[in-house]
Amino acid sequence: MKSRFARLVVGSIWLLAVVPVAPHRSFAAEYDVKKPLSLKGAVTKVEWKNPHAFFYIDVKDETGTVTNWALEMVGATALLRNGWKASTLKIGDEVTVEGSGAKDDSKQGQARIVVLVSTGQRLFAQPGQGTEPGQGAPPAQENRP
Amino acid sequence: MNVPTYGSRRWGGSIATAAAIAWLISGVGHAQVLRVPDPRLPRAPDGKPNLTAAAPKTRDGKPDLSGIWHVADAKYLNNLGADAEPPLNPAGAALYRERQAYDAKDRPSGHCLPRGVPASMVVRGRPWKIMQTPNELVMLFDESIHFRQIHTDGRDFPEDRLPTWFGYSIGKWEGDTFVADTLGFVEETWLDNGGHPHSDAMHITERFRRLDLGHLEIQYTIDDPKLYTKPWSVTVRFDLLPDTELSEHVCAAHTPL
Amino acid sequence: MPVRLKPDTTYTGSSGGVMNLVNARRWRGSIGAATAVGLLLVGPASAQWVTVRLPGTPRTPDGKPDLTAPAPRAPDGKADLSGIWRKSPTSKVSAGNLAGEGVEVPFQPWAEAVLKARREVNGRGVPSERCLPHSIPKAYLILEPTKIVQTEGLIAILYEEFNNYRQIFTDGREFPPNLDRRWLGYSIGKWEGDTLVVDTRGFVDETWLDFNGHPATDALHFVERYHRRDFGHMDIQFTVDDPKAYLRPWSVNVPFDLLPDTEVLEQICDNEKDTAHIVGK
Repeated sequence: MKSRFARLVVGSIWLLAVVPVAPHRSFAAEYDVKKPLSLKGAVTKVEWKNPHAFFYIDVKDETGTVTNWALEMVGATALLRNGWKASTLKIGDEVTVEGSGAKDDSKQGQARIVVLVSTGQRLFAQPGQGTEPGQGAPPAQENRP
Repeated sequence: MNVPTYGSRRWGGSIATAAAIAWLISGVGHAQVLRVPDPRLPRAPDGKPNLTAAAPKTRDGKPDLSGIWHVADAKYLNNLGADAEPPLNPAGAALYRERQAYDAKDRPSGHCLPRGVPASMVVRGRPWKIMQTPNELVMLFDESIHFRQIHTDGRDFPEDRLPTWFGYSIGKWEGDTFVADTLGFVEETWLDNGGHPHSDAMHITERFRRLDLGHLEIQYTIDDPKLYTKPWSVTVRFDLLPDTELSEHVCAAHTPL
Repeated sequence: MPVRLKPDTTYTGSSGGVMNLVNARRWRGSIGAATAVGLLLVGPASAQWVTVRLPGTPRTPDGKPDLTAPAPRAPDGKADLSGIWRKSPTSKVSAGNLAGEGVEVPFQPWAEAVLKARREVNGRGVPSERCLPHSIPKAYLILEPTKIVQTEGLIAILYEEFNNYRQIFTDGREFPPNLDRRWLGYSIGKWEGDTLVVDTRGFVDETWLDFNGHPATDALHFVERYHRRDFGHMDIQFTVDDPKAYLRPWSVNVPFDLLPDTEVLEQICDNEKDTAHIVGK
């Protein structure tokens, strides 16, 4: 690389091209930011495990058909370090979920924000997965007025 | 830190070190993946480590359990109750029979999942290392490069305990015996390949005694009121593996149960 | 491309409701802030040992860990690297991109082609997606912390993710003659003053240096230089010396922050459900 400018350009390209990552695999290999998910439903199951914690919700569409969705979060240890407890989500809780859908069109998504409908509590399901390299971990809970 | 006081020989040129190397090269030693002569070990004139020398001590006078240990008898992995029938209650007996009938189909170790305690420690061919520090005893396993920590810094168990595969362990000394208490287990691990069960209520007490340089004895007491009628114990012997180092055995097919 | 969150952006979900995205400015903080939030939420009752008071921690008069206290020393006089560490959020080096600071990587042509191919499928195929161990640098750069346990003659590196460990032998040994091939290699360390220089060899051929997929081969000779600046801060320089993949060695410097009064939690890869859905493109 001859010029400093060229080096900067190359360096910048790599920075921009950073693959947003979860701890053990690349986000973009499995999920698609161009498939934003916005779901509402009742929690049917919680798997408090690693490398990913999961929760499952029954989503009812306009026709009344119920589909069970799997929502993936970071692993249980990462959630614990960011204010979650195993009891934060309980079976039967109504939640809304924002995230990204799976590339293979399965009923699975990566959850980013989870809102407990009963209390309005907002939870971040991907702490530390900042959208830029080197970004710090956002707090797990947002108590908005 | 904990420097064993059985002769602090350093690298470079002692007769005993040369004899050790000669002994290793001669191939007299049992099958080892790596040959790493330990200059600190007391040796006979032919270079062989003197495994009945006194157990080493740490700087603060406690027995030093550090070393690479290998279970002496393979039977305990197949049946932890090989020496005495574990006192299963009806629920425990039913679960054990079911596992025996299906020939270990869902044993976690078949899914690259941990064997837990004590099964991880009693696998022939899979030694493990104790690293002893003032604040904790670390166990490093050859198999799946897993570790356990037994905390000796005075902490208590956490109040809010998510179940884990190796449990939460705290330890302390009672004279020359190291006593470790572990609880907070997931239910998935099997106590042995035969399928002796345990529940999430299991509380294991391990009493470690280093008999001499080359021999460690651990008494495991299993207290699980959900599946057993009373606590039961088994004492297992381990041999030091000198002049070597742990291998790395990585399991390739992790699948959920 | 990564999603960039904009302040106060709202969008309408498919159900017709309106939801607010997280205000990006709110969480442009440090991991320290998040940890503080976490500590407040879990409280002093040592839930899960996420919060546990560690003896030997230097403290300010109000009892908080003093992260700028001098670096501790081991009984043998060496710098003591013990503690639980996580990559500083100020660094652009990441588990995604070891070359994130803009270092010019001197690729062998085949290695650059492999990296490009891996990026085209968004890192599909990284060994850790199947719960196989992270490479040495990747293990340090992920979200999950790393614990260093230092004794005279042996340093153990305990990785929260996957509950794996590595040993660094500081007892003066050299590499064994019959060194086998490992995911985490075989490491020997020597002190140069207060800097620990670690040399690791004996790797399998399949490690990825980061999630982007910078390749490494079995010729890899990985060098780390550890220097603890004070109680709460350490620098590690990683040098990749792999003549099969790179024309010459290349290095990156990464700052690390201590996570005080906590413990490595057990993390077993017992719920791996991604591989069935990893399509790549």
